[in-house]
Amino acid sequence: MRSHIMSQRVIKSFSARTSVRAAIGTAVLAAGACTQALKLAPDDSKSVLATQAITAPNPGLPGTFRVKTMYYGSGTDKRRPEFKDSVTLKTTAVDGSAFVSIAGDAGKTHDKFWGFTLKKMPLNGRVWYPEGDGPFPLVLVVHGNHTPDDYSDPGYRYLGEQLASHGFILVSIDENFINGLSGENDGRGWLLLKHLERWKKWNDSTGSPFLGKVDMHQIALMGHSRGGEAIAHAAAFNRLSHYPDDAKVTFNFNFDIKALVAIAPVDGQYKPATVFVPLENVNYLVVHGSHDGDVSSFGGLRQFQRLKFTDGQPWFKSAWYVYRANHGQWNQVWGNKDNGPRSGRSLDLRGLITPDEQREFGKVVITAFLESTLKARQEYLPMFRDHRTAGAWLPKTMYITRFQANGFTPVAVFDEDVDVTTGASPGVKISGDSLGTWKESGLTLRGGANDVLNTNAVTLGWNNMVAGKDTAKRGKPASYTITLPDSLIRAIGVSTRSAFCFSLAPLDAKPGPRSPPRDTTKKDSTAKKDSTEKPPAPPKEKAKPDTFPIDLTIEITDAAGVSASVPIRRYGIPRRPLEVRIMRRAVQEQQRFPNKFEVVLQSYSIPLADLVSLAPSLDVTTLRSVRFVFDRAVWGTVQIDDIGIWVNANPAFFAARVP
Amino acid sequence: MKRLLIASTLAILAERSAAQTTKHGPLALRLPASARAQAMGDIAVAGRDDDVIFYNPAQLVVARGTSISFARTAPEVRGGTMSTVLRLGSGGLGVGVNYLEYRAAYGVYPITRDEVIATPADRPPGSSAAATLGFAQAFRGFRIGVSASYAADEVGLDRFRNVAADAGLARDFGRFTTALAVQHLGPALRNKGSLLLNGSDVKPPMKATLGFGWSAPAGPLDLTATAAVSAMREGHVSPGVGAEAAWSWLSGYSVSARAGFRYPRGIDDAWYSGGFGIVADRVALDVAAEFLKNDRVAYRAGFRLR
Repeated sequence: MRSHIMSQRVIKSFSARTSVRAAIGTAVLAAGACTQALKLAPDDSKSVLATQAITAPNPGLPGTFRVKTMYYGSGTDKRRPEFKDSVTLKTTAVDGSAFVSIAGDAGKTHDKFWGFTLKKMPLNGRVWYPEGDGPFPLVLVVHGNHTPDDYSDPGYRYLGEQLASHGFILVSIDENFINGLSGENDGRGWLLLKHLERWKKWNDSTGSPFLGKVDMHQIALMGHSRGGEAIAHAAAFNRLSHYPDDAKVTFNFNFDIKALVAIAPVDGQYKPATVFVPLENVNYLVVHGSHDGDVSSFGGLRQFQRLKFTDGQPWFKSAWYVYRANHGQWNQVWGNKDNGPRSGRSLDLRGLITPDEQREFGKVVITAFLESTLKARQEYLPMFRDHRTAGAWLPKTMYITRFQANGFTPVAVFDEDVDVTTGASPGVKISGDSLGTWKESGLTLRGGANDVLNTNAVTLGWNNMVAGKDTAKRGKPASYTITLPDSLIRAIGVSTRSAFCFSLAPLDAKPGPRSPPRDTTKKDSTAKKDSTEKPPAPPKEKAKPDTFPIDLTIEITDAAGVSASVPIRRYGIPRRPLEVRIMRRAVQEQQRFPNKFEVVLQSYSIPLADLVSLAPSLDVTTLRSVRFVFDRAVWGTVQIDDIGIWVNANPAFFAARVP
Repeated sequence: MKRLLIASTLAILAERSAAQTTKHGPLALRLPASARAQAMGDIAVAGRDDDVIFYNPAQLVVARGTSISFARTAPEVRGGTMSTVLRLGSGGLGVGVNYLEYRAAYGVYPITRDEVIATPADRPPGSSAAATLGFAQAFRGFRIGVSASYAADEVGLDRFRNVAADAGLARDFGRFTTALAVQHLGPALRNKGSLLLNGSDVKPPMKATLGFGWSAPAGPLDLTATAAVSAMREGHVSPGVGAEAAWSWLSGYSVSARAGFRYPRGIDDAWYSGGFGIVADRVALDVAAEFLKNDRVAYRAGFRLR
């Protein structure tokens, strides 16, 4: 009897254990099923980056200067010895309470942790600088928001060592003490300017180790994440006499800030008078990773769009979308888990490029940009016009790049009215032929309708197939024509030094085939045919995404009717949308992102001289029309913006070309 | 016939005097009501699941979801709960039902869980049920909640009904939640001639509980700890602690282990309890085991939808 009871207990126990194991197994299986398969867009980097057209030294390699380091700061920091006992230069605190505030208990906690209030913000910086007499350009880099006690400022060591070896002074600014706050982004920018005041003083002061070593006329501000927005505020405050939110606070900075570098920036956290902070007359570089798990939309493109060149100086702006790069790997402290140490539970990290690759990209592009903008080195300029010219230097992933330089005259930017047949200047006429889609609408980021770029673009779709049994039948290629008035061409002075520019992104939409042309020789022939033919059957299964390459032709015509045309692929890589999956779970991906991909337009600059070389009788000074001819792909849809003419294009941008 | 009636009455009274351990009821008001809480010492005064309606109505402000649980304490003692919470602005509205069926000892009322567990299977059936409606609102950082329960015990042919109210207060301090609940306030169940009540009134099992909840990440785990001390109308003071360690490998999925310890108040409670939970997206499975006297184990399995 006892053994029977025992056996029953064993059976029950076994049954219970089996049930528990089954439950856990089911949960694990369910979880596994809910994890998205790793899916990346087909990589074409081997072919796209196969060329190294620029012959200058690789800017990603260390330079020739010996690198030295030092710290400056309060000398009283209770948390970090480098800003306490290790400071070479002591700084006095600044009162940032007009820009940053913390209420209640949070303020007490802050003050207790850091040992100072927001009225006594320290000016702490870690400096990498070249050995030598200088003067050296000055670059400040500021981190973004992160866990305050996981100090972010050491995370740009790779840039510090790299840039100092190339003859730049790089200062990584400590703003950890305002991390974790909100409504503080203007304060982040203001602090940068207070640091510049110190540097001006040290550069001018006898006895300072930096006396005469700093080129205060060649200054760049670099910022990551919230810091990427803050640099724009700093550039704006630098030219203002009063703080927009409180005119009692006056400014008198006026530094020669020549360049801004925004790394995966946020945008719009600080909006004085509810407008985005305007940006003008500065060189600008923005980089953003497609797999950014924190700032998941390329919001820096809004800064890129806002930046205006109005003073005739040779400014340019450049945007890089880096496929498979994330948010945190730009900083050596932050790592690859963009939403905190536990975000590996939610973020799919499998698709990321390695931290070294991501930072290698940063070193190449940022060094080249600063060499170009602060030292006026011309040899790196082509890579900002067409990144393929630096194919051997860039880590092997896919890039989409935007570019625009001062001298760009817009012809069609789709923002001025709701008439799709008019352009940006009086007299510009637009027409379409055989287009399946033609509309103007706002550009949005991955977040969809609530994540807008504040600029419009035209969407053009075409399908050159003709409906019917003969699937090989093609109609005349669809086209989109911009007719330019003679007065405009003469006024802006178009010449063979000019370039035709636009930005374009293929989409994944496929318009239906066009209707066959009516046979006008027979009365009502189509109606009769229609009445006897069955309508086309609906597709039986979900269509597979198209894989054939997208390309199209740009055709330029002068007043005499002479034309020349080139494929756009010669000037940039047109790619189908790069699908991005950031989250491990499909349901979370869908909840967070209405769009599977970020629409990032690729910029194309086509020198008119190229067209003249194809048709020597073409007179570009009498340019009459530009036609987008959709003759190189049977169907497709593209979004196009910023169509215009770069009148006096700097030839250095074209000194290296992809064959 | 008269002899038979006298004999029966004597038998009932004899069994009652031997078994009865409480003067408070209905039983439904003192039953565990949550698989997760039961595994953690039956402490949920600072809980955030929907079944917190049975422990502290103030927490309805932050509670969410719908849950159902099934309990088996002995072959003849089975029951279940159902609860749900609806968020209303900065407040929350909750509804819950707790039910238990058992075999009732002759002539014993009010009864305890210990008593129904020990009752032989040949005794008449009994049942206890409570239906609770609660509302809570956030106010200046505090959460304030009230609930009302209608409870009924059915023992043999007798039926005993009463109403009781709960009031709760809670506030977060960083990772800590502090909560206070006063439960089962209400009038005594008046004796209206039932032999079982023996001429005395049955007061609700009022109790006051002060508790804390805390949760924080620790390495790869998410830890939750809770502690509470309850003062019962019977005069007992019953402290307890509970803990949970959860491991998540994918956002929305986790497995957890739980344990609880409570200094028993003399009736109904166990010293130890334990259990585990599995969360798969919006569904959670919780299993609890409460180690009662005489090597008995009370099991409860619950499903939560969030």
